[in-house]
Amino acid sequence: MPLDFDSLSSIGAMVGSGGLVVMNKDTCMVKMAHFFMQFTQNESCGKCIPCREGTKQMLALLEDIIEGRATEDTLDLLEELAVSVQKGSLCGLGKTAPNPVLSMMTHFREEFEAHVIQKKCPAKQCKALLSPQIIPDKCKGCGLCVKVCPVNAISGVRKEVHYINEELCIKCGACLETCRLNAIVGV
Amino acid sequence: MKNTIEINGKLVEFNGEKNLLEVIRKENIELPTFCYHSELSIYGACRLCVVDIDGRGIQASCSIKPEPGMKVRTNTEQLRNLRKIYIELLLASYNHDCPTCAKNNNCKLQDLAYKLGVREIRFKKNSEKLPVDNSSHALMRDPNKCILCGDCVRACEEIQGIGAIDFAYRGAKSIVSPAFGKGLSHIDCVDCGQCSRVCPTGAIVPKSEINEVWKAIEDKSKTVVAQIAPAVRVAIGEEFGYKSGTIVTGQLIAAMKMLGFDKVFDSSFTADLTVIEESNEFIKRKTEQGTLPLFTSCCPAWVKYVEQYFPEFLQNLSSCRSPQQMFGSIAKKILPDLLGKKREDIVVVSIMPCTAKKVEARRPEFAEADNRDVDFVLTTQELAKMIKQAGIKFENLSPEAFDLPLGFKTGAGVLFGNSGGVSEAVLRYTYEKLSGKILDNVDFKEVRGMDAVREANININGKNISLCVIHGLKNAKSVIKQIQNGEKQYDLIEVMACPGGCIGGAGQPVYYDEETKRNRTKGIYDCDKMLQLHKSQENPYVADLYKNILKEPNSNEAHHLLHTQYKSRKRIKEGAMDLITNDGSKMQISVCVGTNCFIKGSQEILKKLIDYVEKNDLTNIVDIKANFCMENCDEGPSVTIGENLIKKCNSQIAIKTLEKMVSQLV
Repeated sequence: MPLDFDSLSSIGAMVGSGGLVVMNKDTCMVKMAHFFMQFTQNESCGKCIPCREGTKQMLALLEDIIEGRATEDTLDLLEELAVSVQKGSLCGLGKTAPNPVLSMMTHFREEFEAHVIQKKCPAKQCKALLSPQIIPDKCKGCGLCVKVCPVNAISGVRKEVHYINEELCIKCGACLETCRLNAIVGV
Repeated sequence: MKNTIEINGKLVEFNGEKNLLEVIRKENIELPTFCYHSELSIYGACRLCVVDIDGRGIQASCSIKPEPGMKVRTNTEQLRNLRKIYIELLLASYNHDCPTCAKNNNCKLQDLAYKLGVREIRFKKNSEKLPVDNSSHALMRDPNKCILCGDCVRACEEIQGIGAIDFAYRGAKSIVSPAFGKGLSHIDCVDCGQCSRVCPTGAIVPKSEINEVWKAIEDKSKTVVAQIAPAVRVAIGEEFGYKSGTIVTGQLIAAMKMLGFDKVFDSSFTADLTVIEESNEFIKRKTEQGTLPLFTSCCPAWVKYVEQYFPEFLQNLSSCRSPQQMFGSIAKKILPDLLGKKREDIVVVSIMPCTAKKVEARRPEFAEADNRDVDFVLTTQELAKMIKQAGIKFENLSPEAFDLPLGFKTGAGVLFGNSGGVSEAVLRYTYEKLSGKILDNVDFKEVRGMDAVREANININGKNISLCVIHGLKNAKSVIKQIQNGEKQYDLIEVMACPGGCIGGAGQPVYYDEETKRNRTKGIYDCDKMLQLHKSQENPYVADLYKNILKEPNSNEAHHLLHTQYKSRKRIKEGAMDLITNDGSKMQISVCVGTNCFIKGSQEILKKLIDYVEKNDLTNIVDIKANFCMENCDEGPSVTIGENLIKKCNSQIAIKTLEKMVSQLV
């Protein structure tokens, strides 16, 4: 595909600064949308209502999705708000600020839906949506994860396979980061 | 096709309207707006007046010029949804506890939420609370209710030319604030309250004194007397369903008697008194080559403005107190005998269209041993609220008359409510006094009108009197500049801070349209017409007052009771920040750290000077201060060392000068 305005806009993308960002399956598109939104929200001057208030609320809605608080209604609301900001803002910043979100919501709809319906992050990036699980073959029962778990959700006899109590787990991800044997994975 | 556009399929002609919004509104379609006021500049921030234009998409109609052939739709589903969601966003973002808000029932946001059908707030509510500014006696500022439409900012800048408040920070953190987050009472605000008049929500509102007045009324040992300003009678009816401009004086007095006011008097009585005092002052200055032009002094916002910005013109300000303060001092002088009460037991309450009057009543010169001449000032809005609190059915009341003697007035005294009224009243007096003839046609139409600056030349007995009538302090500033440049010369200048004069004051019932103002103006002139007497000199009770107490105009007694003095309030007099200890006997160094000098590098100079002084152990002989503005902004950075003012200073020059002066000292 040629890197020019028309070709990119035909697939719902835009040139922006002309830079290319390469992403793979480990990139969560919701988080990416949040990242872009944060940028434009910071750049808003605060003069007109749609941009000042709208971008702030779009960011809050994206946060809800990432944190697992969102429902299907959140996606509709986000879309409605994004269009309102795009249509009504005073200047080009506000008019284009929702573009990345809208574009990602069109092309990566299933990723957004996975976040709000199944409460899963397909790219395994959104901590709040990951349930840590211990792979029995890899766990040597060292007990490090037991020590870092803030809610005492992990238990097990030393040098034997440990277990995570899913009812207690708050999905903070501390155990995942601590395990040296990669025996804990988020799913 | 020429000069027509299509609005919702209907062909509409346009003719000189400055934007599409005006054309649409002319067609009886009330597009909602927060940030659009016909008297202020166009801002385009609220985006509520969006319309769909063929070929151009969705645009804010306030910022679009009507062009022939345009096809505009104002009411599509998309537009309705956009407006709704913007209101919803505002409701989520700020504190909007409608039932307990001072602006309840008069709030544009509340009204639009209802009219546009916003039934839920789906967004995250903001829980952050900003401090409320309660420092001013005139106004209360609650930034939590501010929707950042910028109306107040533009009113202060474009009507009054002051710019006491402005936007601070950016993006979602934007707020409207006085400089450096100070309180309204600590800045150049003149308390006119025009910011609160244009505020669509309750973010800036007149400060209420209702509770204090209720307390005084209920205190059996107190006699509570009221004075009603001219502009109140043609506006308060709006709060009770009357058309703007309806004269409801009689019902108003009846309602106030029901509220428990012991006596209800008229500020127009002391306005008559003002006319006589001020006219005599004017005639004296005119005939004896005194300082001219004479500035009127009825408007407290204007008086404070002159004190702050043009202290060199203080001697031009009439020494007459405003009618409110004349009333206070006369009432507390004569009523104790008349009513058999002590001064302290008489409570004077003013009903004013004005927020600045609240501050005027608290000026220390208008009190005797802590007992203020005017104890409380209620705005028209507040009085209406009291009447509503008491459950009085205003519209069913039979009219009653003002109490005597301080309730008798002539039409001249009532005119004070309009811009141009003081001038006209003074002319009615001055004409007879200077010519010795009876004035038959009392109307001086030359000084009437809605233009913000009006000039008139009146010939009395071969003497030309040139007048200038101004409303809006920004216009007053430009006239003063013209006088300073010698471009203009006047004998008498009347200034009212609020558009249209007191009838457009910030204490009046909330209004957003020009028609209300026109109707009130007409109401005042009608009031004058309906009275039998039209000249202040014909007021028999004023004549009695001169006979019994004041002797003659501008007498010693009159000066004591009715006149006042002014002082410069220029901010440069404010103390500076001490950076190196200060005991007065040392050499003084001041470095300006005002915005302009700061940008030009005064911080660097300050740092170098402090380093130098500390390194050379000069702290015993030198004081260093950081100053705000030495008013040489075009030639900054400004530094004074001892008596020397150094403009366009830099650190080398500063240190060289200091070295030289220290060596002279040693």
